[in-house]
Amino acid sequence: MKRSPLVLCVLFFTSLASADPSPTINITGTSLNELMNLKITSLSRKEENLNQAAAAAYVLTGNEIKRMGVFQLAEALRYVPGVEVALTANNKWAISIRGFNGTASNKVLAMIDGRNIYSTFYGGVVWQEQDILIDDIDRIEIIRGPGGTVWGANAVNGVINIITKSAKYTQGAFVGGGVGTANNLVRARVGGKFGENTYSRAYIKISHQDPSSSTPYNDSSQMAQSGFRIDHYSSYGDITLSGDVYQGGIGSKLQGLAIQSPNAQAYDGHNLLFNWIYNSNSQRTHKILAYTDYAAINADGILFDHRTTNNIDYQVVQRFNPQEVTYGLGYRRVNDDIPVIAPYSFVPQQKVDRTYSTFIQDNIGFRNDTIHFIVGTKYEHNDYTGSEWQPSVRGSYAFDNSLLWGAWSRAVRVPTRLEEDLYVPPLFVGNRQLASEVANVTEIGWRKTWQQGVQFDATAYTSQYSHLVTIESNTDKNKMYGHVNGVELSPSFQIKPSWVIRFNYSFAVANIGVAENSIAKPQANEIEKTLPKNMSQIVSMWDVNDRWQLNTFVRYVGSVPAQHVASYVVADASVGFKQTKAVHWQVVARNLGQKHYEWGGLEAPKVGPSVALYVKVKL
Amino acid sequence: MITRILWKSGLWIRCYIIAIYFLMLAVTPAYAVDPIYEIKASYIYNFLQFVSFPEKMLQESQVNVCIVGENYFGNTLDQIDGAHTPQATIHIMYTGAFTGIESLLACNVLYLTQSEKNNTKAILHNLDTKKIFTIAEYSPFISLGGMVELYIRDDKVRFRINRALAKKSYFQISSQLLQLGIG
Repeated sequence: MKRSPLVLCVLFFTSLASADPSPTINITGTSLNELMNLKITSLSRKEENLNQAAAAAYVLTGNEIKRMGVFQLAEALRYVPGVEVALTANNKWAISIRGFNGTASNKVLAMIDGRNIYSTFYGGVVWQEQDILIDDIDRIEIIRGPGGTVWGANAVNGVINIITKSAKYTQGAFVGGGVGTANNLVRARVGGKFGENTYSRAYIKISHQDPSSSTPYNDSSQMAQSGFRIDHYSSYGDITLSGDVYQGGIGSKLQGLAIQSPNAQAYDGHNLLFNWIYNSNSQRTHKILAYTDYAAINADGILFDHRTTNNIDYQVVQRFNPQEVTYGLGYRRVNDDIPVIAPYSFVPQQKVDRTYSTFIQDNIGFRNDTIHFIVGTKYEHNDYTGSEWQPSVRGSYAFDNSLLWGAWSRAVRVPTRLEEDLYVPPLFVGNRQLASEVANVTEIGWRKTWQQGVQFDATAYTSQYSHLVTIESNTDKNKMYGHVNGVELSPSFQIKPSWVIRFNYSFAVANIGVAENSIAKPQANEIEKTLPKNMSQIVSMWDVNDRWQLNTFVRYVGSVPAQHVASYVVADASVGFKQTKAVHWQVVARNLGQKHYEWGGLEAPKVGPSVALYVKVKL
Repeated sequence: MITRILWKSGLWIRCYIIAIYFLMLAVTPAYAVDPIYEIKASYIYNFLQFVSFPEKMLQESQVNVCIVGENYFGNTLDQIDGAHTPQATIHIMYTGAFTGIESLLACNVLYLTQSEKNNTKAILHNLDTKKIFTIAEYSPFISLGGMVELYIRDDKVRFRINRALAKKSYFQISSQLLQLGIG
């Protein structure tokens, strides 16, 4: 081989990046109660050698997310193996796991600190309205595969669990800003301490995104969000109270809620969450989670969705060697109001939906904990389909720094308001008799850690779907079925304490069919052809020295024929510079490479290179 | 821009292979401290906040914590060396693998790392566990007469306390710690 390409490659890969050598926890500032609840896996990527999780779990740490220099949550998910992320319009996202991607990716459940952000209106997450402060994220846990046994309905293909830091770890104040070729951002946070054991923080984030030049619409977007969190530690356990308010929109000048531009959106909302974790002794942990969440969307000035969710969960973890039993009860009530401009309407326009649930899971360890057997089920009763069972059986065997695991699970996706109650006669009338979509998923996985800091994680799965919802001539039915098979690999190399490189690769194929009397064959074809067969990423994180960081991210996404998207390779890079202890700079270059589409349709912007400069000043 | 040049010249696949090869060569056995040991260090610090020794057992208001066996903590324990308990200042000592009781005479707290598993009996039989607060990061330890056993369960580091021994010991252990350490 000629010398020049080799040199280029070596230069490129040496220039890439890494683990933060600073401690992951505050050794003298973490209470016993916290220590007992601290998940080893959430602390670092070294998890695998001890992680007993018999599931395809992946953790993005707050540190990694900061290194990416992302504006929004959605962008951080681009470098997780097996997760499909596509920009469908300026600041609108389609995010899915193991197929079925779309603007309504209804088979992935997402939560922020346990608060469900999956919209029961249309099925999916409005990612652009979840504009939390990136600096507050402790970690994002991504579970590929079903999570229905613990998390309930709609966790069919995966769970995205966003966990924010305790206010204890966000003390002090900072102001920050970002100026970019496509976005601008200001943000600020202040942390405080009351008495011995109570901590608080408050933040504000305001961002603006310029219109994309490649669409005929004015699709600029703006978002403002503010929130707080209070954490109290005592012998009565750890108590958290948090809340956010936000307002934002996409499209031409937003005047209140009256918007003119096609495909424009305006949204606003607020939430309040209470969480209490209490160890009554070392063998028993109680957890109460209660929240209320209001979210409103105005789409095109035609459809308005106002949605209030009230939720309470109680969970107990009871250990008696060698077993650990987790059980819980939950109640959720969703009130909505969906006024729509004629000829569309929702019947009824207002609705109250209730979901009662209970679950139990037993984790039994054998032979010195090297073999684990985890069985459990969730029972849920909802107003759409009645009773739903979501059992799973998992097993794992640990040997030689490896973990071999296998699982079978059943998960369901409950029909949405849109599917059941949209009323546009004679064109379309929603179907109240829809059943839940069902998935039976079998997975096997293997993880190994070598002494030299090399890790390998591999998963293979087959997901069998039935009762998938189809759009028939004038209503919807459960007439589609099929399967998705795939493999996910992620080897990772800790080259030095200050330098980590990770490769991710996923391969998946969907095979979807419809019942004989269905007209939805094109819909099935579209699902098959919306899944990129191959996706791959290289992530390199490097602390060059105490002051400089260099992080490089390269991703390949295979073609998506249903969206007329050709395969593409692009890179993101960020350089971090700590000027002083208090002043940090970051230059982020995004989507380096050829301009490309990630989604079809008139709204989809052509994604091209952009650069942004961020500064953060600690006060 | 480099990516673009590479892409244009059609070198992606080759570059991948070179990268992997290069990485394999570059991999060295250096790695950062396992976060589990940060958690364990924090446990040691926390335990000491709940244990009070008779004054005469502490020399110069110093509580000597001896790490016996291979040191997996790296320099993590530097952060608690010199930190305070309600009663004294923490002083960390690394005694290496157990060779005899002589090297442990100054210790108020013993922390036995995994490498000492086979020496547990020899250590516990030759010490007065009522005077020295003993911690091990493996099982069985309590059943052999130790005070605190750290173990990993469900992806978390947990601990058990030997209540029978706690009742007999010369130091005082707060009831809060005892309650959390049932098992």
